[in-house]
Amino acid sequence: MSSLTPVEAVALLISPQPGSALADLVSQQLTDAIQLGLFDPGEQLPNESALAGQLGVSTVTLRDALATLRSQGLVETRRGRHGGTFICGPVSASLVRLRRRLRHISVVELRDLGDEWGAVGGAAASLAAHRASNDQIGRLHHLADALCTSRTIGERSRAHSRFSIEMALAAQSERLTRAQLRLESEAGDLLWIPTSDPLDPDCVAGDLHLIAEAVGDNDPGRARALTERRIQRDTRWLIAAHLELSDP
Amino acid sequence: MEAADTVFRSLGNLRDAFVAEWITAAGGFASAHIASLQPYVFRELDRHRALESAGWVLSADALTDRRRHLEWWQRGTATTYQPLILEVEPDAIDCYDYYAMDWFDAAVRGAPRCVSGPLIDLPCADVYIMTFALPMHAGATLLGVAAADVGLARFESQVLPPLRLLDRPAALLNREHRVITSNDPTWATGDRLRDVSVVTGGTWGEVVDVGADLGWTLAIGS
Repeated sequence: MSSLTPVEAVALLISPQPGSALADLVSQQLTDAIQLGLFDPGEQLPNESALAGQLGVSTVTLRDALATLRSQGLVETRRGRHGGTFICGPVSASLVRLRRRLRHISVVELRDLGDEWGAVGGAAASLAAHRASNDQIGRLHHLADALCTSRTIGERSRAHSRFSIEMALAAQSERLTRAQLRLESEAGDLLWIPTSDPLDPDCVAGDLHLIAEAVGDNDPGRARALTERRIQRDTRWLIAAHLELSDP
Repeated sequence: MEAADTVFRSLGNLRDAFVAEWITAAGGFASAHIASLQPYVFRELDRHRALESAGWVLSADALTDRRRHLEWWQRGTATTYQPLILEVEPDAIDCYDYYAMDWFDAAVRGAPRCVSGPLIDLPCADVYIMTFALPMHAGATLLGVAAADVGLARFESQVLPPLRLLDRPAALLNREHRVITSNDPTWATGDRLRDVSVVTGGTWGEVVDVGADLGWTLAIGS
């Protein structure tokens, strides 16, 4: 293996099977090679026709495969005189998975997810405004702060999900808590995928503080309305991110 | 609108198969005859993944032994299909009264074809679908409709990529201005753009008729 170039290694791994989607196969093998560190970050791939020739596939197939890699943040294409396709380096495996998940879910499903999220979150916030203890209100503010200071995707999604779950706990509702847990584990981590226009944690945290304030003020209407507005924004962001990731 | 035409081509095959069989029976077509037609449904479901379910929904004049009949097949496991059994006798308390459904009523009213939805289909496993229906006639007699339910997510995967090539927001709308699919997160599937006809000079740059008799339009942002 050590005497092979990375491209040759990928070419060896590709064994065209009739009926298989060749572009998917090529992109999967290139993904594996990048994830395994076979390519150096910053390394430039050969130009399209040369690379297609080395891999034994058409340039059309290769272009499809590269588009998939770009959408996963594994390679980037720069234009201009020093342009070409460059390896970005391994992406943490979970980010690849997250991006794949968000790409494969449809707009219809995302909208429906947002509808349920808004219903559950809005009801939890409204009830919490009636029922939350002072401790719980303090924890809600604390979790909003934690979102501000978090740096990684994992930290952000944990702080943000924890806020929603804490709200359901403050609502004293077993069923809403279960629903919130399910929603958060299903999609909570998708919100923090880096895109060209990522969600701003400070901005989201600002909204969470406003919601926690409304809960603290015993104002169920405001708590619900602010929560629903925040979740509507989150949902629109998810749809926009999905559209960007599935860019042709 | 190619994605819709593809579905109607499938329905055309189902209609032709049914009408041919009905005419061959020379006035003696009974519910027992329908079993021989099932392979036609399976063939369309096999080759058209967007179809969640399909079949024939028959008028009072179609069968000699029943007033109403719904011959409907949905996807089961990966390779099998399951019949949908609904009570359709008009006198039954839990009657699924398809004569009251938009897509059947359209055939009764003489429309050449119809798409209902997007809607959540409660009788059929509460999936989010559109119902496509094509009337079947023998001479002047309406025999019923050949119809199919198309999953919104699958339909989106066919219609959204071309919309994504536009550099402006665009939404495919049904007759009631409900979003079927859109390339902009502000207008999601199922939303209603009630004021689309009066805002063509405002939010929307143009509204293009894309579905002709279906009443579908493409609203394009300015």
